[in-house]
Amino acid sequence: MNMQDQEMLNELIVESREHLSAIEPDLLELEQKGDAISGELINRVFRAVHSIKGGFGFFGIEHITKLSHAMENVMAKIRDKNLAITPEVTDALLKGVDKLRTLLDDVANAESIPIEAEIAGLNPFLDQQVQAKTKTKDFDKKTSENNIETSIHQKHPDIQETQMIETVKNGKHLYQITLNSRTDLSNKDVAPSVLLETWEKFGEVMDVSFDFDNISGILGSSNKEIMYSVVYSTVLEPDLVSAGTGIPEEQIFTIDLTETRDKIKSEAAAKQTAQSAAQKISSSQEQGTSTAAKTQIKADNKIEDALRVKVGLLNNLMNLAGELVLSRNQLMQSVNRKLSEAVETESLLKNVTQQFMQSTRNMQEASRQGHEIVNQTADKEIARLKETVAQSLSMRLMDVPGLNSIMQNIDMVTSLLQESIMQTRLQPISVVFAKFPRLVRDLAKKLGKEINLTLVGQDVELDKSIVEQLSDPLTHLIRNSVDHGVESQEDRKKAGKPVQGEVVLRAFHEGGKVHIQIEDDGAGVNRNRVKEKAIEKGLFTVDDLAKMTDREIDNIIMLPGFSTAAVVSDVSGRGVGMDVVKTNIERLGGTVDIESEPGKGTIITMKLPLTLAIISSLIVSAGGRRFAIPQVGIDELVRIRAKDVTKRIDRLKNCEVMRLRGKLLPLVRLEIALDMVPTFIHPESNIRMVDKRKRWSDRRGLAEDKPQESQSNEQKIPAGVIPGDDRRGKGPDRRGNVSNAVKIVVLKYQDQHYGLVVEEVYDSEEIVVKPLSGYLKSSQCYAGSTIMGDGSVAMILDTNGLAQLSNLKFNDLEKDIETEKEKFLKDSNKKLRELLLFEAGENGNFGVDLSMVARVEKVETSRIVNIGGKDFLKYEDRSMRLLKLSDYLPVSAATETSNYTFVIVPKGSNHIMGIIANQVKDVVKTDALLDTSNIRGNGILGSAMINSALTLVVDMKTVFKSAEPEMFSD
Amino acid sequence: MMKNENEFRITVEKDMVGKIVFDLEKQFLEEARSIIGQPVVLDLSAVKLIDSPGVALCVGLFKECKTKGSAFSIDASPDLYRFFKLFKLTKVIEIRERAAV
Repeated sequence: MNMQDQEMLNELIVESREHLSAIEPDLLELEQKGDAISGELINRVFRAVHSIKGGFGFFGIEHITKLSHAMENVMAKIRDKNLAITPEVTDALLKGVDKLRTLLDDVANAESIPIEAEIAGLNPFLDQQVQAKTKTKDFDKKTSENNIETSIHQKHPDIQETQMIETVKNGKHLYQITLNSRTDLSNKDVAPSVLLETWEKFGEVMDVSFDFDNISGILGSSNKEIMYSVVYSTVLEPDLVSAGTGIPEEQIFTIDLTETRDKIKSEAAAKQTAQSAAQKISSSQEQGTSTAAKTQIKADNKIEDALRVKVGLLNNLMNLAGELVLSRNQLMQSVNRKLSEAVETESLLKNVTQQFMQSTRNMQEASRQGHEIVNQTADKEIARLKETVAQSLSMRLMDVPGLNSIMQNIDMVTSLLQESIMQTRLQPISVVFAKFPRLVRDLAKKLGKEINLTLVGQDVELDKSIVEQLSDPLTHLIRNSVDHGVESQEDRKKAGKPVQGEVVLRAFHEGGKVHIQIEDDGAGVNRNRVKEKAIEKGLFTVDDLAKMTDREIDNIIMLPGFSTAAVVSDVSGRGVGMDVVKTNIERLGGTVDIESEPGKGTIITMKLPLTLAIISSLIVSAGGRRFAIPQVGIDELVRIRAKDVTKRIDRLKNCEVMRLRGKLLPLVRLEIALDMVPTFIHPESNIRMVDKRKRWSDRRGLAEDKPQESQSNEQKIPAGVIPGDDRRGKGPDRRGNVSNAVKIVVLKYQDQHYGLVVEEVYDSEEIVVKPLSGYLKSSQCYAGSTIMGDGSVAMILDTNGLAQLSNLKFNDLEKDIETEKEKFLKDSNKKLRELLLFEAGENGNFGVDLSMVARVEKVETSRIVNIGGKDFLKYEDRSMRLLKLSDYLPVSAATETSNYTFVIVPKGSNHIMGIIANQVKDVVKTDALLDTSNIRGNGILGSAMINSALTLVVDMKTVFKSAEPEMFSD
Repeated sequence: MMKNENEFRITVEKDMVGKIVFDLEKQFLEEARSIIGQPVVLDLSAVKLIDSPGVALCVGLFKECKTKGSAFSIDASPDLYRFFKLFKLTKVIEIRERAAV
């Protein structure tokens, strides 16, 4: 086959696939309508099958021709009312459609694909036709007219409905005239073109077709009888057409236009509806409303001219538009920078001018007192300089006018161009929806259920790449709805529901996203069963489930590991592959949500972006490099002030966690996740340095003190980075510096959240997604790349991939904290503890771990100074803050004062804080168990009977933290 | 009828009507024996009128070429091109509009 033929064949395959897509829903509609078959509907199927048959007949692909011919014959019986459309007939025809699809998928080997089974499935109905024909020889008038109309669509598939409508509008009649090549042409020595020319005097030859299937080669071809079919529109009345054309009356058929006329009327009515809907759109701000109206309008505008364009070309255009957007951004940034430079220069020049004027005025003053000639020279110089400055100023300003408007124009046109190209990639969701009526029909039949599927919003458009990837998840959900959602007929009867179940597949716009809903009126999710399985699988505890809302419980079925067939088939609804559905939709930047009401049904809502090519993202930085995070995965941004870091960020099992509104969030530091050397900008020197802290609360050192040999070989320091200091705590503490605030992007990951610690958070930007090159495809961390306005490349982070890579734990966090506390208490209870016993407040007996105490000082009370309500003591050339336990623990304050008091100085606090004790009583070794239930409080480890007195064992660190949280770290 | 190395060109210089068509059928049959895979061009640029057997002969030649695996195309005069287009032959056969030199 040569290239031209191959091209023609390729086009035919594409067209035929479209025909098949149209046939399937039409056949289902025919089955549903039964006796009330619409002529137009049956003709549509005819046209489609006939076009396939004709097209492939030319190429001599027999299997396609034969099968479509058999299907056409069955359709003929239906058309002639010799055969009623039954589910069996529809099945046979649908099987034929399926096989034709298979044949189209592999046209080169079509002749080796068996079609016997499908033809055998169709043959019984052809036999029935013979029987039926013998029974009814005469067709009524209506049937005959129907035949003609069908025949027109069969033989003249290219005639547009619009042409027919136009003809009727112009008051013309439409005829189908059959010409016999021998009797009407050769015998009369008339060439077809000559005959048709004479007809053109009274009307218009709209279409001609002829059947040359019987010509197989040169031999005998010129002697073959050919039948021509002509569609002729004319003002001639039926009784005059024969005379006007010279063709016998029996070969002329008047086309009944009743249906077409009705169509014109309904079109006019629809147009009116569309206009009022359009008015509604303009007045309505609701996107959902506008979508419904849009659907109506689009339905009316279907006649618009269309052009088939290769996807590759569109993709190329899309890429070029993306490049243009980036170039526009770069140009804008560059011009804006130049403009701001110009403004700065202008103001600089003004200053220079003013200073110069002042100096010259001084000079003038001086010269007035001296020689006249100096005065004149100065005047000349001033004038010349004034002119120069003025010129430079005006030149600067001349650069600017007009530039702004040009830039605005470029900006606007680029955006519009990009938007238009994006629209070329949009496809109606009906492309995916179209296959579901068949799926539901077949599945319902198999399961012995009666289900009605309603499709809403088929004109809603989505990016081609999204539409293509929607098919699988939607098929899963529809299957689940039919299989598990809608109950059996018996169960529905018992529940007082109609026997026929309802499944609605709906698409609409809302909030800039496309929503797709699958709704059924089935039994809903069996929450008790879901809970049982969740506990059984160890996904949640009873307590967890008790805290969950119904919706949260419904959504458990989408968790990975939950939706195995064994589990879910026992649950009343949903499940098989639901986690796969969720993953697929999330990969498309969408979300899935389940809402169910037991006994009443389930609604599954998917929210999808319109396109994947341009996404809204947040630009962040880490290690001085910029990254883009898709907005769809971001929940919120959290900035923790430097002084609150120790309070808000903790460390648990080698993982840093943040407490956010009572919940623990695992943290991922972006630099570490990306295997970069962690760095920070020194707040004073503004130099990037290596950050060697293991936890946020640790201190960072000074660069200049850093001994070179202490650098770890493993920690290579990037160029331009000055090594940091590991002699922590020596320099001034900068942890309170504003620049040390921690910026966290809270991200969604499955049903959980985690925090991504970044260096800086910049603007939100619309970015053009560039696919990753082959080298980076396997990287879990990146979803793509983009070019920023300044021309630099930024990687787009795959937030789910980062979470997976970091092995984050979620559910166990709270549990772990509790376990750690318990472990600590248990460990501390086992040991033989050495306690310093003392008295504080009003007869309060306390104990502290002796290992925590640096020393005990006896001081004169007069040395304690009270400043701003706080007590201080001068101690080792610095001031020490003194705490009264009664201010922080549940004990009464001391009523009596003495001349001396004791200060317990703890270890490891640089002696900046101490605890006031009335009296130091003893140091004891004890293995007494601490009771943690009786007396509780922040800073109390527990209580025990020591030396026959109830003693509270104090955790000094916690007490200090309560007093000055920002000063005390872990 | 003309032949060259790259294509097999069959030129018809008279209108394809009446008896001429039957004569052409014999000629075409004879020439078709030499067609073995090379592209065939039916030059009808000088033909202004074609009757029904003429159309059938063109289709017959097209199918013959198809069977032999040869590409087939027609160079048609403007009048003939309009006719072929109306009869939708342009959809299945590559037909170029070309006036006789």
